[in-house]
Amino acid sequence: MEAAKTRVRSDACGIAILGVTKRFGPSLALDSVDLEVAPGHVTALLGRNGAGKSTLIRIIATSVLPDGGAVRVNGVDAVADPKAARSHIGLVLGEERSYFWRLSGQQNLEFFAALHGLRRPAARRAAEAALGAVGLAEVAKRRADRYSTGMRSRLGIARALLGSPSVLLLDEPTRSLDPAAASEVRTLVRDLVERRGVSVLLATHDLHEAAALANEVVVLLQGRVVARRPGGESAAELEKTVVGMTG
Amino acid sequence: MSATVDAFNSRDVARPHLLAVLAAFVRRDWTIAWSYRLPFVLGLGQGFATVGFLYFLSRLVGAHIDTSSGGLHGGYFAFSVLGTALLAFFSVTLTAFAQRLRSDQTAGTLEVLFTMPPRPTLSVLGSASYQLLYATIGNLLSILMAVAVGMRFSTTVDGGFLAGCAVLVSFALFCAVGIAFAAFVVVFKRGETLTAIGTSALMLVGGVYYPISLMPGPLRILAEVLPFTWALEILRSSLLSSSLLWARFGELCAATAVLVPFSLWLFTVALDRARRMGTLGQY
Repeated sequence: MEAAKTRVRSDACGIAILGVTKRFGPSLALDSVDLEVAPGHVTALLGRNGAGKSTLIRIIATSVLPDGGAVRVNGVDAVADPKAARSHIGLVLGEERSYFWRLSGQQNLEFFAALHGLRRPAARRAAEAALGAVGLAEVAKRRADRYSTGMRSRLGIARALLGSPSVLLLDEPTRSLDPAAASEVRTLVRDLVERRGVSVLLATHDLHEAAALANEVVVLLQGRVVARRPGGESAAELEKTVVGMTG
Repeated sequence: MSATVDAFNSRDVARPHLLAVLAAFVRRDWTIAWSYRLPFVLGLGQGFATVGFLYFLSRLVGAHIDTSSGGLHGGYFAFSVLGTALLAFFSVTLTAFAQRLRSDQTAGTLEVLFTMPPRPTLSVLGSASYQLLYATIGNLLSILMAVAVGMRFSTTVDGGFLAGCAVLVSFALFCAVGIAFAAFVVVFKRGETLTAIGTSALMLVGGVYYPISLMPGPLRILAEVLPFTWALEILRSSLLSSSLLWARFGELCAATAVLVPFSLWLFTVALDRARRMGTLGQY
């Protein structure tokens, strides 16, 4: 692990992962995974269920500790200094829970904005801007338990934007969205990448999404990187790669 | 949906300040609690029933007890009101951290909270802060009611000062125990039974309803080594008989100085274990 650490550039921006390994009991979730996502780039993680995509995202987000390897977020060692790393990260988990149901969308976001260090007026502005960015401004005052599944997904994306992150970790962000809403989320992500230089790691099963957004596609199988493809390939080409590698 | 990324101003984002984080948690839980108005109001009045019960109990037993010792100088009513107030406070601190953490586990918010910039220990402290504030207000209302129906203090400025200090130090001590229970919940997920046992055990040996001098040898020894009974002893002495137990207060401070860092360390260990096992988001 020490050797791996020294090989990661300390001034690296974006995400730099080297030799990350994770085992849950007898099961090897990640096996010596290397990955870099430069600022202003999107890397899509593809692979079957259980391939290790979510585990990798959780390791970068600091909610899971790796057994070995190095993880740097904007040059910060996320294993040694998770607190500093977290201030660079916006995390979108695929699940639609994770909100305070009795609070409105606006109140949920104002609370999380305060945890990012925003004072009340700034928190309110950030919450309004985030809700506007994901198309929830009109239902900002509605309680989260009255949101549809798609609205909750968008609320999760809005929450990830609150701290002006330079790294976005998206775990199936459009899983519950209708095609139009999913397309709008992709537009938003592209905009963040192009205009803000945000680094995005996107775990998805949607090959069209990967094709539309990614500068690089990484395919995981049983915790190992089995293929890397440059961006620009069509969904059909990606399908060939993924099916060919993962069966 | 409009992609208004320019609306996010990174200059607004700063290092989260301790008080601002605690205030955000209090605001969140206040808003949630106020959305259930009837339970909110009933909860505040819950202590009134206890005070009423103790009032009538003291009329029954008060005439038959020796009030010259065992902290009973102010009579049984004052003795038991202070005891139940401190027990209620302890019970809330014991359960608030674990309960809130458990609720965040089941709601799916725990993993999100722990991937936010504040330290997880601060988030856990923040999560319980509303409940602690609410319990403090409820306790003060109960004591005010007790005073209204006849409870009398016999204290001095120094006594009031010592009692205030003892409450603050006890608060930190009880929080430490609560955080240790929260560590248990992080690892084992369910800790309700353990917290219920803790509260019941204190009712038995904490000297809440009767002086610990009444208990048989082994139980009395157990009671005498509990910092809870020290805190209660200091409160009763300084508020009901103007007797200042500074040495006891020193022992209480020492126990707190040991337990607070220990519980924070324990919580960090539990959290690291959950992060290693990948169980932070599980319930």
